Amino acid sequence: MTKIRLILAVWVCKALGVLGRMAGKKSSSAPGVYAAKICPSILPLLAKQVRRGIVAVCGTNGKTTTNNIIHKILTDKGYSVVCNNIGANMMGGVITAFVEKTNLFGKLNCDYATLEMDEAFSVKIFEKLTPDVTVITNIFKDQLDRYGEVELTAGYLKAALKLAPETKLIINGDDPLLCEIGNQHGSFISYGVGERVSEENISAFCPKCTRELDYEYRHYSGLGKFSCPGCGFGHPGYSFVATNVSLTDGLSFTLNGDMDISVNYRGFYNIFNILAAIASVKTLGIDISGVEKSLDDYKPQIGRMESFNLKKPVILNLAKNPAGFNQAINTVLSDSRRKDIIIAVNDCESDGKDISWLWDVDTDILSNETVGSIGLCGMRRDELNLRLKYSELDKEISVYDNISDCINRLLEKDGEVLYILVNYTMIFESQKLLKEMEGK
Amino acid sequence: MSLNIVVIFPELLNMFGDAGNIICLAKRLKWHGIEVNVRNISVDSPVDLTDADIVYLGGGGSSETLLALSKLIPVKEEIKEYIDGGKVFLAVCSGFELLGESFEIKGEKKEGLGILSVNSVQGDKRISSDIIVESDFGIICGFENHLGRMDIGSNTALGKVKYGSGNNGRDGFEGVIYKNTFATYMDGPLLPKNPALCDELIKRALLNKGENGELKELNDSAELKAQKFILDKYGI
Repeated sequence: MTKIRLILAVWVCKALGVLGRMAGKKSSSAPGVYAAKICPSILPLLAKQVRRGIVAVCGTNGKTTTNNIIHKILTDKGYSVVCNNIGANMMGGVITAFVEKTNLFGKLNCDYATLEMDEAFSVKIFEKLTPDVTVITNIFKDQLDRYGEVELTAGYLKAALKLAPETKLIINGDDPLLCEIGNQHGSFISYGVGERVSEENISAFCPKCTRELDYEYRHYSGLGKFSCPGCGFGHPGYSFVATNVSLTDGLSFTLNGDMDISVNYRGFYNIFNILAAIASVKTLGIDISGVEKSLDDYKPQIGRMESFNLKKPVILNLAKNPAGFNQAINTVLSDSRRKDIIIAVNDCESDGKDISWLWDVDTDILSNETVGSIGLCGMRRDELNLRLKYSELDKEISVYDNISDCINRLLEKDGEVLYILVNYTMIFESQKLLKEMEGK
Repeated sequence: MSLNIVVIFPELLNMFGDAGNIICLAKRLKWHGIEVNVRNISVDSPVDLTDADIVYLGGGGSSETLLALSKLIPVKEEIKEYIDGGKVFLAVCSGFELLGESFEIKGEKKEGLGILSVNSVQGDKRISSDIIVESDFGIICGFENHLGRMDIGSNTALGKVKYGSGNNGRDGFEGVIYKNTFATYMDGPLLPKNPALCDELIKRALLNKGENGELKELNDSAELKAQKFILDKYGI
């Protein structure tokens, strides 16, 4: 009976996917939701057929990129891999990803599964499958209307890990909150950036005794080599460490002192994503020699510093919380070309209805001389305009009702490159539009 | 003319864009032609309010709020003296709860600083929504994101809730005004979209210094447009 339900669920999931895509939808999540209604045990039934191992990717920022880099490395090594690669990271998205690699008889054909998970859903997913490796990228302030506070996010992850005491935990060792989670799990593997790269002066507090932490060096948003002057809680050291970091013209660094990695995409935070992916692959027991090429070939996914060739280069990037936004602006400014910038922010349910974090973003640095004009868009364009008013930028700032006009107008400005920073629900519309414009 | 803004534990109490309130105060003071000094009191330094004209106490998560409480209890008499002396004070979110007689955190009752005769308990669901309030300083709008349910007793409220939950979702009021202290659950942050309220704080601080409190008229079209977005969304 279960077998019949499973097969029926797989058929429905596949059919809904086809129909949905015909109707122009992404169909990356909803089909899986229906499939689980038909066969509630679909996820455990499929997950247990994974031949070699399952990776769970959690954390506030960097999940999609880390997950996709893992996918890229594994597929380049010739493995068949289940991956919810476009970031559909709730229960439905995970099931839909599994069904894509399942045949009409309910038989899954894959060596590995790498799955990004929304923190709040990680517990529910861990009830259905046990990852061999769990990697957590960071815990930052994000979508506070949904999670309430950062501690709550940490609580979800701790509850998920309790369900999987055997999972090999990999954490960003530069994140104090994650080190505390790692200690609670028992053992963990740590990665991070082992030198001073850029300084951002944001305070962080000891997750054990709440004293303000000291730092030997700090990267951004509380990440860095921390130690607590109160209780002695300190940085765990690194199993995977980046040094000789260079952020000019793409990214480059040396891994563990002996592997030089150089990629053509930007963003300091991507070093953490690459480290997370390498640590995950290695922990699965796979030889990491030769991953340099996969890393360089990796094409950033939708809206992760994604490039488009219009009459000038256009770069689209997701930025949805203060840590991500500050990093995005810094990355944009690290490009020395003259640029125009579009910022678009919505406040839909999946963006987070509370956009107070905009005031935690340091927009004053947009006064940078390489910035030409700034276009604002999205439902909260007026709030963005207000935020920038209080930065007193001596720039041409204009507000547009729709993103298409905004892009067309900003393309006419004389910057050499156009950057577009958007939050979650703006990303798909923007990408679709840019692809259409690129095709013309 | 110059005013001193003192921010209590900004690295700790900064949950919902609290920095925006300080940016707003500082910029508007500048635009009004008043010199401004912002002094941050960090968590390990003494809480000295003697030179302050406007004090800000923001909101934090549970642990941060408990840490702030432990650091503020030893100086509660000084803070009380400041507030009872009619100096200007703005408390937002858990800063509002901290000023009260009691509040709950992680299900446990805590004694607050006892400066405002208000008490809060935790509700079962977080209130998280846009909020619109009618006040003596015009319509105010922002975002509310709190687990606490505040009972302000016989105190004067900051305003009446037109949309959202306010202090407790029952009595239809939001915040408290006591002398020149404004305490509220409204963040979003509070001041940028509500320039009249920001200027009211500035005026009161100027009057305290023996000035006439008259301010230049500023061009607030960007502020009012951002505010109008919220009002239009709820047809108010």
